[in-house]
Amino acid sequence: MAVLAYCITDAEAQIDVPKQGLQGKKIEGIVESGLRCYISNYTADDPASKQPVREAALAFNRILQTFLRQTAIIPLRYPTVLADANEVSSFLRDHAGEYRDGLSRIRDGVQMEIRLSSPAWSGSGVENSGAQYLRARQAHYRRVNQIAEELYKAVGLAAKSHKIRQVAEGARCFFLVDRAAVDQFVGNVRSAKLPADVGVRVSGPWPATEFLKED
Amino acid sequence: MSESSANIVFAGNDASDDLSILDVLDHVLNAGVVIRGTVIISLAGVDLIYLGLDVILTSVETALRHMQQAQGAALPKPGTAV
Repeated sequence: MAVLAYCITDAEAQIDVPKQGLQGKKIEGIVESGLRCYISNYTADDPASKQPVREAALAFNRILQTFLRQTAIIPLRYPTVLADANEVSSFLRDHAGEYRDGLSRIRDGVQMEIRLSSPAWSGSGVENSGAQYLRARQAHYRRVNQIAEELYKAVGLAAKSHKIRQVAEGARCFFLVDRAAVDQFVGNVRSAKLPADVGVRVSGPWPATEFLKED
Repeated sequence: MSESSANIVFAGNDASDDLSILDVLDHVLNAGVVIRGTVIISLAGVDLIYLGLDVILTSVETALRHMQQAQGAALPKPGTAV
């Protein structure tokens, strides 16, 4: 029978497993090579599968958050449907080293995200030449990095690690934060001195997917 | 930098408003392990083949981009609590 996969944890982690998965199905753990993957049976013709993708994805997130509150997890993207539990075992066996390393890297960490944005960064389109465009982009990157540096200083020791990804409207900054230090992280961000024209959106805690691999 | 930080919005992770829903969908659909493979699921006695999840993910990303653009005009200005 097809199964929907939720997340991977250390096999030893003591978890209070959510009562029901999607489609109201029971969530079970498949243990293999020191890892545990949580799954539930999936029936394509179940009336519950006609739920809009958005609603199903939000329900999936609620289940992931229940796991994340208890331990470090490696989430599977929604919807990951495999033919049966044997395929899950085989997948865990093939990737055991990689995922054990990832879990040991993030340990008890969760991911906090800060999106930096400004209407001025969306691109005015007034540059008349390629060189002007490149100079504008360079200035944009410099300013975003400067603001990110301010954020890193403000966050301080509340984060164990950080990464930045430039996007069109600004940047996404990711922080690896101990579960116990999330409140401290939020408090530190709250006190950050940042330019008044910059939008700062803090979200999380999320599974620490940006920190599973070393750069 | 000159500044005070009035523009910080704390969104959490629980889809309590439209922007938070986008945050959640972005993480659930775009972050995490992808298993590539071919899965056969039967629907009403007919075997359907999932040719690869990337196809689905790409289309959802596109849909999300359109949702964001459509909501662009209604997005709160920086600093506005949402």
